[in-house]
Amino acid sequence: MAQADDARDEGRRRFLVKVGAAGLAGSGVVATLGTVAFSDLRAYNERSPVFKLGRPEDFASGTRVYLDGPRLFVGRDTRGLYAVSAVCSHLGCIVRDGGEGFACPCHGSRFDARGAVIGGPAPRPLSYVALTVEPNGLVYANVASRVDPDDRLEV
Amino acid sequence: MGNVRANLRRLPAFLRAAIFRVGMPDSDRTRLKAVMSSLFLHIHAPKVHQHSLQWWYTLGLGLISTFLFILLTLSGVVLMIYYVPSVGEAYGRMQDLMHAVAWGRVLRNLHRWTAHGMVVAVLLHMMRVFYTGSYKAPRELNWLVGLALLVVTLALAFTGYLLPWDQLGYWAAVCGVNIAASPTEVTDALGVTQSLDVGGWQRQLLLGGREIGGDALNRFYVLHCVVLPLIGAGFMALHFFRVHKDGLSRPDESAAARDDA
Ligand code: HEM
Ligand code: FES
Repeated sequence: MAQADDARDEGRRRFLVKVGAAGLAGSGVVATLGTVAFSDLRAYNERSPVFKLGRPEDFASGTRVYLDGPRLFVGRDTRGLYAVSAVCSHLGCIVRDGGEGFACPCHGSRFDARGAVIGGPAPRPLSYVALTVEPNGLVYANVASRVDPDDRLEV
Repeated sequence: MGNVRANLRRLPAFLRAAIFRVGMPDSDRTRLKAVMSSLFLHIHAPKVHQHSLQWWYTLGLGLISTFLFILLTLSGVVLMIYYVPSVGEAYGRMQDLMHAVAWGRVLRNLHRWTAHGMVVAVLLHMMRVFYTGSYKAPRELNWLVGLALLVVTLALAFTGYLLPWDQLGYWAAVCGVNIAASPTEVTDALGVTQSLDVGGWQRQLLLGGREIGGDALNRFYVLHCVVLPLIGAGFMALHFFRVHKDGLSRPDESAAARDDA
């Protein structure tokens, strides 16, 4: 009799342990997913990726200027306007314009005048971003939209 | 009335006995009892091998890390009285602390230098454990707990660095967060970033946005002042419990184990 009771007790304990473990694991998963969802905002409290750059004639042929707000080098060559992001493709510092090309102060990546990597840890070239002329006649850049390095805005 | 007065007179001795339990120990037995009946002393094993008492064996590096952690907690709590984790205020508050608060500069430097010291002490402690082979059985678990403590220590240093909201901290955070986003290189190479963007998710979790701004500063603040210290304290309790249970390793231990076999 006592032995049968022990066996039944044992079975009940195992069952309870399993239920407890399943409950803990389940609430762990729900809590993790909940935390992930909680930490992502549905709408960002941030500035828009679209920046007003100025009138097309502000950018003279053969020059390139740095614009601090959008963190872009905006220049004009014989084919038109272009904008290179100043954000280093390594870990996101702001590169400097050395005339011949760009250099990053953080870990020494170097890029040629087209933004291709010529030294340092950067894994990718600098990105070119999309430029448009809006009906008001002004040039806008969308820093979230990448384009081919050969694309030019003809204005 | 006489009883009350007699009781009051006994109060100091009574309190002392309630706190220290055993009087001034005068034999091995009472010394052992004194250690075992105190929460703080019993972190030490009541009996240790002669080898464990040689100061050059541990160099006290684990304890040094612990004391630096305690100092950091105390100075950090006091810093919180003036610090405000907002983009508009943080930097000015640090300036106030340096110029307008009595002992503010000392306090801030204390926190900063103990933080550097703790990173160094923890790394040296880890090297000591490695060079003495103390990660071997039965202490494997404590090595893993130690690794968790290393990560917590580095994460504390990283999150704290952003809080003054100066150029150094800002760009260090930019780089650090982009390192956290580096799994994207792997998912990009596999071509699955669209559906499984681990790097982007980690970045999002730290920043609460696409760029470092007020949300990021607040998240770093919560991690630095609440989440990481609590996780660290929890792992430290586990760490000390394991040191207590496994006993300190000894130089002759592995030789003795070989001889036994
Ligand atoms: C917050 C950081 C840490 C603190 C406060 C801490 C604290 C301690 C303390 C007080 C001891 C007793 C012996 C001694 O003083 O050396 C100890 C031992 C030990 N620690 Fe840590 N520790 C930390 C990080 C680490 C790390 C990063 C590792 C390795 C990955 C580690 C692995 C160990 C091991 C295996 C022992 C047992 C050593 C033996 O028996 O000889 N600890 N720790
Ligand atoms: S961020 Fe530019 S080289 Fe590292």
